[in-house]
This record gives sequence, C-alpha cells and structure tokens, in this order.
Amino acid sequence: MKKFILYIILGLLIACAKQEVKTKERFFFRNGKADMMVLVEGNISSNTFILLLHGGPGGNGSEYNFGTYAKLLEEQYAVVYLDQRGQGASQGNYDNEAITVHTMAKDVYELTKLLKAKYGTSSSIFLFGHSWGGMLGTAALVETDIQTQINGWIDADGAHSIPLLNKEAIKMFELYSQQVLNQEPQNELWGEIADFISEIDTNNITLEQGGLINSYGHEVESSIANITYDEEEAQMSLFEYVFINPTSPYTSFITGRLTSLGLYNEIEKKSYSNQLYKINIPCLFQWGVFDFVVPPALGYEAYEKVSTPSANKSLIFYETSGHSPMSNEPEKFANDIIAFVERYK
Amino acid sequence: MRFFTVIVFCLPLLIFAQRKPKKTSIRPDTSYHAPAISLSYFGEQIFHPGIRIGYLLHRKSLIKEKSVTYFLKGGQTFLKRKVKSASFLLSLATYGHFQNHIAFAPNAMYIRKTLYNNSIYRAHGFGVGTTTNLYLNATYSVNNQDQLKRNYLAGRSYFTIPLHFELGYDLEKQFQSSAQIFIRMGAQILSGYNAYILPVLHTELGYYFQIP
Repeated sequence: MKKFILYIILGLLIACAKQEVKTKERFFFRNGKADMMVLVEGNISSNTFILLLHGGPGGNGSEYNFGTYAKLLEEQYAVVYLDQRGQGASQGNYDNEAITVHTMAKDVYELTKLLKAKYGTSSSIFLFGHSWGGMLGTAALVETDIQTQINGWIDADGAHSIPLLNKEAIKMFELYSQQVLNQEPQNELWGEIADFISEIDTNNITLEQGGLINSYGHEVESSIANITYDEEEAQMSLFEYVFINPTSPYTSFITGRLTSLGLYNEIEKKSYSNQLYKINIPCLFQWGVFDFVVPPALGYEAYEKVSTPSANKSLIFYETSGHSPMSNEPEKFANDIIAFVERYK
Repeated sequence: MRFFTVIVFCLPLLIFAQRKPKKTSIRPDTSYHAPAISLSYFGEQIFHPGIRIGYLLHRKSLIKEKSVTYFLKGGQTFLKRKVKSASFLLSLATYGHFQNHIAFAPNAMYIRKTLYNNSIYRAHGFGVGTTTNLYLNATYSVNNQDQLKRNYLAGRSYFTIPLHFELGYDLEKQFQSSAQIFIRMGAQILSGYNAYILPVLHTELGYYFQIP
C-alpha cells in the first residue's frame, strides 16, 4: 500500500514537472529612463523568437496577442509582444525629446540584445512590424546594427514612408470612389471621400489632411465586402482585451494618444524610401490588397528597394484582406510567416 | 402644453414660498473636533483593487443656520443647518495591477466639506503627493558589454496631484458615535509619466471614525 501511494506521489510530481515548461513570461525592459513591458508567449523552448512591433503609434503589444494567427505562431515559436516606449503598460520618467523614431528604434535594437543575452546567443530572432511597427522596424534596420542580431524582417502593411503612403492612398481613394459612385451615386461615405481628395494638393499634403487620409483609410474597410472577417473571433478578442489583458485599456489609450501626438509631426514627414537599400537580411513583405491605410504600393517599393537578393525576399498579397491580414486571413498569414521562419531560423 | 410647462416651472416657487422672512445665523464652531481615521476600498478605475488609510485633522468650521416658515407644510417653521468645515487629510493608498505593478501613493490633501442637517455631506479636496509603482515582474537591462542585468521590484515614482469629490452620510444620529461613510470619485494626476501625464481615476468606498 505504501509503495502504491509512493508511486502515485511520484507520478503526480512528474506530471507537474512536465507542465512546468514555460510558455509565458512577462517582464520589463529598461533602456535609460524608459521601462517597457514585454510579454514572451508561446514555444520558448523552440529558441526562435518573433519580436512583434505593434501599430499606432498609440497601440500596444497586447492588441496582437489574440486570435488564430497568434495561436498558430505561438504553437511553433515564442512571440515577443513589446509595449513600445510611452505606450501600453510601459512607463518611465523622461522628457518629450526622448519621443523620437530614432530613440524608439534604439529601444528595439537593445531589446534584441537583451533577448540574446537572456535566451542564449544561438537564439533566432525575427523582427515583425505591422503598420506603424513597419516604420519603426525599418528605422531600427537602417539606423542601428540590428541586422547583425536578427535572422529576418517581416513587414506586414508597414508604413516606411508617410509622404508616399498619403499619395498612394489618394490614388486608391480616387479609383475606388469612382467605381463605387458609378454604381451607387448616393453613397455618402465615398461621396465625402471624393470631395475630400478633390481638394488636396498632392504636392503639399498638410498634417491635418494626412490625419484624415488615415481615418478614411480605416473607415472604408467596413464598407468593402471582399474583406473577410471573423466576427466571433473579433468579439472574443475585444472581450479578452478589455477584461483579461494585463495592459489597462484606459492607461494604454491615454499614454498612447499622448505619445502619438508627440511623434505626429516627425512621422508625418518621415520617409525611409531612400534608405531601404541598407536592408540586406531575408525579408517577407505581407500586404492586404484592400489596405487603404498603408497601400500595397509601399509593399512593392519596399520589396524592390531592399538589397536582399531576390531568392531571400518575397512579397505576398492577401486577396481578402485590408490593413490587418492577421485578422482577415489569419491561417494563411501565419502559415506564410511559419514558412519564412522555418527557412531562415 | 404651455400651461403645463408654466405650472411645472412655477411649482418650486409655490412650494418654497415663505410666510415669514427667513432668519439666518452664522457662527464659528469652536467645539473640539478630534482627529479621525479613514479606511476605504481604493479601486483604480474600480477594477484594480486597493486600500487607503487616512488621518483627518480638523482645521476650522462654520455653522450656518436658517429658520424658514413655509406657507405650505402647515406653516411650520423649519431649522436648516449647514456646517462648513476645512480639514487636512494625510493618507496612504495602495492598489495593484496584479499582472503588472503595485502602486503606493502617499499624499496630503486639503478638504472642504459641507454637512447638511447633520446627515448628508458633500466634500471636495485637492493636494500633493507621490505615486511609486513597483513592478511585480523582473526588470531587465543590458549593459555596454551586452550583459544581462536583472532587478526585482524595480519601479518608478511620479509627483502626483490628487483631486476628489466626495458624498457621505453622518452616522452620529444612528449610532451615537462620530462616524461617517462615504463614496469618493477622484483622480491622481501623475506628472512626468512617459514624458507627459497620466490621470489615474479612482473610486473609493470608505468609513471615517473619530479617534476616541
């Protein structure tokens, strides 16, 4: 009987030990006077890390830690969700001169060094930026030595040049507004957009007009029937974001808005088009065909201008996606990343 | 419709019409007010729970009494009493974002309070303080040699301006002891938070009792 109890205890201990494999780790990353929240979730033992740079500016890493695509990626690799400087749950005491794209790019570089120091120099790291994260990732690639630390760059609908983005968005608005208004002359939204773009001087787009282009870009997505969307998953994600998320949505909103305002003047004029040639690591560019926020033309330009040999770069379009293909076509999006990571890890 | 509207708007004039001129007296309250202790639930945006303990020091108060005799209500004379007081509250609040950080917020506040007929009161306060957020997870950094440095219970401190509005009820009549319950809505404005400010909203539900 005693032996039997001993076996049961041993069995339970072994079972518990098996479950102790870490799949989630949360910590702060300190760089100067900024403390940034980092969540590492997924298969940490794979020793392959996907460092995700969220959109915005004004977003947070937790917004990306939901849904099918995240689950698929986390099954294979560890995904590093960073709350960038001044956003999400990140904190600090610094002055507003430290809110620049370059400072934030240096944060990303320092974080890759930290990941190598923490998880081993043999770890594979892939940088993955979405939207504004695409600009931040590009800045880190061309302004720091991060390319020596990472295995590849994944750019999903990334905004590496706002002046180009604005011009291309206007072209898309012109094309689609004509098509829609020919069929539905009374369509209010597209009528409003047509009036708005007719007044813009494309050689002199103001900051205010740039802001409106971005707003309309987001707004039109809901009117495009071709874009697929899993309503149930979106509702679940919203629930988790509000009630389970470690980042308070209120704090994230306030700090994110203020940091975004601090960056606004700089990023509205920012263009890395002429520096893309400095990128020579493997690249994967992923774009939604119906992305009015960061039009596909930016994907073409990035693909063409990076110095990476053709064999090591690819540009993939998602036919039923808008600005967030990870939500519109999550399986295909995640599988393309997995194929890329498997090749270069 | 117009007639009905006029009646509705004129109703208070009728109800509060006075038979005699009202008498008002204002005098300072010279009685001794013992310091009080406050204990409250301190929720940052309600959901992030915490606790606040405070020490209230009475400064001065003024008693304002009015006697009014209405035409209605049988021509009875009523005594309306208001006690306006000023006090200082020294307090320490703590609340947790349990996946993230725990905060300690000591502050000193000046509070103005108006007590109506020894029952309901309203108050508002403002002051100065600090908030220290201690991270519950480890904090890492890398040095110039790319070596990892790990800190436990690292954190950040911010200068804070606390503000609040309070509604309360005096329990003296019910329990023959000087005690009050209150609900307080407020904000602590953390300055220098990520280069800007962060107004942290809080809700409190608590109890004041005098030190015997």
